[in-house]
Amino acid sequence: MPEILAARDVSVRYPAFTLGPLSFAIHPGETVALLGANAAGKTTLLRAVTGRLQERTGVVEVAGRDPREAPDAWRAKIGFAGEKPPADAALRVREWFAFLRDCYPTWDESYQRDLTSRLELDSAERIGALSRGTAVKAAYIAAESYRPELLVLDEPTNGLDPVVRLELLALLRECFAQSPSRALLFSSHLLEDVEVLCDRALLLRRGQLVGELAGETLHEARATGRLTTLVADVLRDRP
Amino acid sequence: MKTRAVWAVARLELLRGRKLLLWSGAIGIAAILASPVLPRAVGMPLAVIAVVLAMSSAMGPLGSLTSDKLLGHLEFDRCLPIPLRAIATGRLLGAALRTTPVLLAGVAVGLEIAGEPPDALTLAMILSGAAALQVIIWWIVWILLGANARFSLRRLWWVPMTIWLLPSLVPEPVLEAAGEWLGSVGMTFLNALDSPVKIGAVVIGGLILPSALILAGSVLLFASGLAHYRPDPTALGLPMGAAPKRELASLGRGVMVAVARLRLRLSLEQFRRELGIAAVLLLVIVLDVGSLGEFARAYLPLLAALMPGGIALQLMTGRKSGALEGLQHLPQSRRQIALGHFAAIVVMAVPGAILVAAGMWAEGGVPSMMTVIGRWLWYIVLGWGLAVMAVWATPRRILTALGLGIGGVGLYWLIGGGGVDLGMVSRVVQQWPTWRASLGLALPGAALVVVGAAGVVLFASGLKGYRSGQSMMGG
Repeated sequence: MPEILAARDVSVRYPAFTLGPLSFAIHPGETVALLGANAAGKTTLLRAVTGRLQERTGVVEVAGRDPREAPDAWRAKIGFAGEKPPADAALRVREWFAFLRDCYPTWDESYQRDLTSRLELDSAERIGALSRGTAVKAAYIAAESYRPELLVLDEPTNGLDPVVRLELLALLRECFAQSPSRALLFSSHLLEDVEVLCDRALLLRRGQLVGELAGETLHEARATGRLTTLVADVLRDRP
Repeated sequence: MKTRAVWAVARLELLRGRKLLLWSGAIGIAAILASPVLPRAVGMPLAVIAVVLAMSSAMGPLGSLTSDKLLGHLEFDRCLPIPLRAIATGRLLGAALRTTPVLLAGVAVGLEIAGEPPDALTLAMILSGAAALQVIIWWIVWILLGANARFSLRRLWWVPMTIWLLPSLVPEPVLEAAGEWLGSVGMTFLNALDSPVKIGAVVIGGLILPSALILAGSVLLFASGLAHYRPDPTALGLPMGAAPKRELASLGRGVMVAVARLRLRLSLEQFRRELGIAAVLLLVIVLDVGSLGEFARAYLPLLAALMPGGIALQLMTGRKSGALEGLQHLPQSRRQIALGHFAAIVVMAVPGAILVAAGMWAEGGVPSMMTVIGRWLWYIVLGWGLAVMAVWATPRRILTALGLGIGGVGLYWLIGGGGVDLGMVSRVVQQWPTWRASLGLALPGAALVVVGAAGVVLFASGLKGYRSGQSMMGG
């Protein structure tokens, strides 16, 4: 099966930090978690593979094309949501959605309304007035409503209360179970998210991929309740 | 799809500045409607307020762009599935719509200057003048947006004065010959305008052609800026240094000291390069390098004023990025926090005053101690005033203050039986140098006491009411 995301020898250099070089691939239908401590390089990696961060080396291909060089309309194949909508604080959520509707050819308004209602988001609120959890919801709906082939979420459950967190995780599971041609890549600190949602977990430490949990190992770790210890050991470099 | 996306971007730009747009538009309309009813003493200040608000609305898109650069929103814009030029066109068109109150304010001022109810010809001239002003504002806003998206206005500080001074670098005979040639071409051109149709065509062509060229150039610059964008935490002119651990550690010794240390550390980082430029400018004045000396003389006081004024830039950055919340929630008196900022400005005004004194000395003069202290006091007043505005000013507060001002003038007019004399303002302006000379340090001293005391109260109140994401222009 062709990869939906292929990263080969991807590297980003900052004066005080270097990410990679690292390689991995994500296939259609997969939900993959990116785990790592603070400042491990998770957000940098997510920005690099979605084409937001342009100053990187190596090869990144999403649906067969480099996001930096792909045609304009192709960019709708990628969805990215961070902690809050990247929009002016003075705007109302519905105004922001209306703007995106006019920009994304595949924007599905009824789907967006459904998501807004299920996540109990008040779209009349101003973006600047959104709580952390509500801002995450708005950013997620903005990225999901045009059903991108690769949805990338940067710590989507961070700051959510337990009820909304479970609702969002259930929603993600449902969305991606129904769309075998799409893939989800998300970063998280929370191992509960990994337990509930992902098929595979990539472990990132100080800018390097140091491990991967998948298949039997992940299943066994979940079943025996050893997931936390296992991940912690890899991230702390314990044998 | 492209057209739809362009209008979506333009609409978003408009929505971002709607509050100020509506307020300034409403005051512009009010000023126009009030013109035949109210006396000039009240109508003119109202028209001037309409101009100030209209210019704030017109320049709002620059603030929006700075926020986008600071917060990384341009990175998102770049990834929208539409061409970068469509995004750029939408933003510039939206920005042009945000300048609409300039037209209304221009008409209001024109009506006030005309005085009597204008005849058809005067009215046509007022409308044409306001329309021309509106178009010129478009050009300025477009050029500034394009330049700021691609480069950084902070790094282009030398451009306006260089353009202004460029003719002085050209030898006198060449300038004279060029002037004569332009004059003769102009006369030939004017003589050819012998019918209303030709005049109309020239006026329209004179506005449309440059508008199209400037819009196209600015779109290209803006799109290029989007393509090359990197998140820029220094978009407001504040480099991000190492974490202020030592400065924050001194909180235990008093919040005033800690805040002042923090601001001074950031200021020194902020102006490292500018101090180097100041040294070069001083050298140019000492060596008297032809017309470059003019350039140096014009810029040195500006750089000097930036030393204490830079703290206002830090506060504006903090306000936009939400970092001001850190100060807001310190378990300390907000007035003491304000005083800490004031102390930092007092210190930063010292290099400013020294720089000006060095400039005077480089020109061969010997600045008196009174002059240096006077300049120092004025720089404190200026820097503190800007810092207070950076924390306190919101559209609502500015409008309330302006409303109170208009109310005061109106009341004065009512009590004084219509005896408000507009010439009073020009007399104050004329008398200013005399007062400055005769009052010596008493004038800046008194200004410092008033601005300092009021500023501490306003700063504390602004800090208390601050909400993250709030901007001075409401967009």
